[in-house]
Amino acid sequence: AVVSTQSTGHLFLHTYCQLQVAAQCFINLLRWWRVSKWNADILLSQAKPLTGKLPSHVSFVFLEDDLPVEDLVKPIVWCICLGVSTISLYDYYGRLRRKKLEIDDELREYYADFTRDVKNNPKCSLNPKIKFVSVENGRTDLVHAARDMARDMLKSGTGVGDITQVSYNSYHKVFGDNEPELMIQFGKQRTLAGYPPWSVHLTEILTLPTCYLISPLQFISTLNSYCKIEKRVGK
Amino acid sequence: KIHEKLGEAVVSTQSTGEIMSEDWFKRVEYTWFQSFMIKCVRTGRLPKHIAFIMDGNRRFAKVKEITRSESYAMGFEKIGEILDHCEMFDIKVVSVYAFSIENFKRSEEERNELFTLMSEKMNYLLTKMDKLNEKGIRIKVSGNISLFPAHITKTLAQLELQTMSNSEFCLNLCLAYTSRDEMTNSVRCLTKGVLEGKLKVDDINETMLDRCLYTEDLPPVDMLVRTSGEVRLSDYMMWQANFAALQFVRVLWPDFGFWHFVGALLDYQRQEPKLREYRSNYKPFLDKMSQAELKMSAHLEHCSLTSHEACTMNSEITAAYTRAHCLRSEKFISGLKSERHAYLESCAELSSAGA
Repeated sequence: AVVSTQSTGHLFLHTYCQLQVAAQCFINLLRWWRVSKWNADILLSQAKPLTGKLPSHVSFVFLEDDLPVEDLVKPIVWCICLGVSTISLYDYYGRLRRKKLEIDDELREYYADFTRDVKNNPKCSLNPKIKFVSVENGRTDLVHAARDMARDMLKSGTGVGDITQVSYNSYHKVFGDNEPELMIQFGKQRTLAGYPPWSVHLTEILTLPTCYLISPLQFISTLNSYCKIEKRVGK
Repeated sequence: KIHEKLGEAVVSTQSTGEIMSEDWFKRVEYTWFQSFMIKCVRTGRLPKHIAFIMDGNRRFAKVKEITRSESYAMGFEKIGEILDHCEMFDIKVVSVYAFSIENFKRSEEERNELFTLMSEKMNYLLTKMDKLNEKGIRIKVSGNISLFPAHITKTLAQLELQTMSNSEFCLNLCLAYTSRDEMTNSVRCLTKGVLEGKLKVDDINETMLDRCLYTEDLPPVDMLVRTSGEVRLSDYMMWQANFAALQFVRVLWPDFGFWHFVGALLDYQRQEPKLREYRSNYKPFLDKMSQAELKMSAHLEHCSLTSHEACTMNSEITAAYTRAHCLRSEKFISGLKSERHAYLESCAELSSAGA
């Protein structure tokens, strides 16, 4: 009875999560009629209350098994239009990196469509920094940074007292000083899944059930949640 | 005050901030339904190591209109409660983010409140050494404890030394801790080893970095729980929790109860298959990379020692290099452990007037 109750409990949880994803897709479909005519101008006017509070680096973490390119380029284009200067895309296995060309093509196509007939949008230029990150850039980057630092110290003869967080940080190649302020995870899990650990010390981690049929309203709502967070840093 | 919720155990809380007596070690009486739920949840996979960010104490004080000291004291009692729950679920290692290096930026008044509470509670645990040993609880302290006043550093070192041989359960107190400081410290140790000739540069790898962290001999974090609804890690265990399930719970730490804990465990069990997939895929990736790096390093070393014509690789050369690498690494780690033990002993002997 105990095992079957526990299995039933997990079945309920699993079903709840599946229903959550399905409900989100259904809501996005309903909203599609409303937002299908959205372009960059409308997005900017909806996001006006968030001006000045948006992050400069947004990291999208894809934890789903399916990675529909035509859906995942949308939040990238929305970020570009809102003036986000750096966007990183993380998936554990590095499948997005292997699909880079396809993503670039889809990005250009959707960007052209979304910014068509746009009158007042100086921020919308398709030239952001987009980084593709996978588990190979995670802890391994820290190891390589440590080795590079040790080699330099052997050559220069400096002591270990010179090793500080700042000096160690300068050897990191993944993000350098440009760490993500906001991480949006797509999927049913909530985990770093091997994401570069050095770079997430103050990153706000928000989740969406799926990137499938993602709507700009949902995205604005997520950014709104980010802007409302009080960033205290230990105080 | 007695706090009662639907189906929840009766947990007595205090509003005066006084230490509860020996009951810090066994405080919760479970209802029949809770016991039944515990049995249900135990049939599934459970985390071996849970890390807590105990956030929300000051907000709790505002909401309940009590002093900050009282709220922090209740937060300490909550740790005892969590240890009870973990005992029921057979979870062996718990880490708590008790004091961040960033917290030194708080006002002097608040810092002094926290130091006073810390001193009080740690001294209380010292007086309960028989209970700690009876239950097999090991207290480990992770962080740069030299940043604390000397009397606190001394007490923490004594606690850690006197419970070192206990192995039933480990309570890892993260004090004067941030993850970046920990990783930097680990790199510092390894670089020192290289500069002293104990290690080669290529001996620095993920395993060595991991073994030089404060949490050297603890298992990786399987679940990280942050209370109060904040959704960031705040520089806590970013390396150790790299593949952990993250639970951001919208309840203040002193209010975190049994059902919140069970909810987090159930959600962990829901995510666990995917997390296990990530971990199980990571190990072969790491091993493959490590073998390739060792082969390359062996080749480079061999070529630097022989003439160009004799610079050919074979598996024997790689195996010999790998053996030497393992020997150097083990010797270094053993030396580091001795150094850290000696440091704790020197801290434990500090006079309270300051060292």
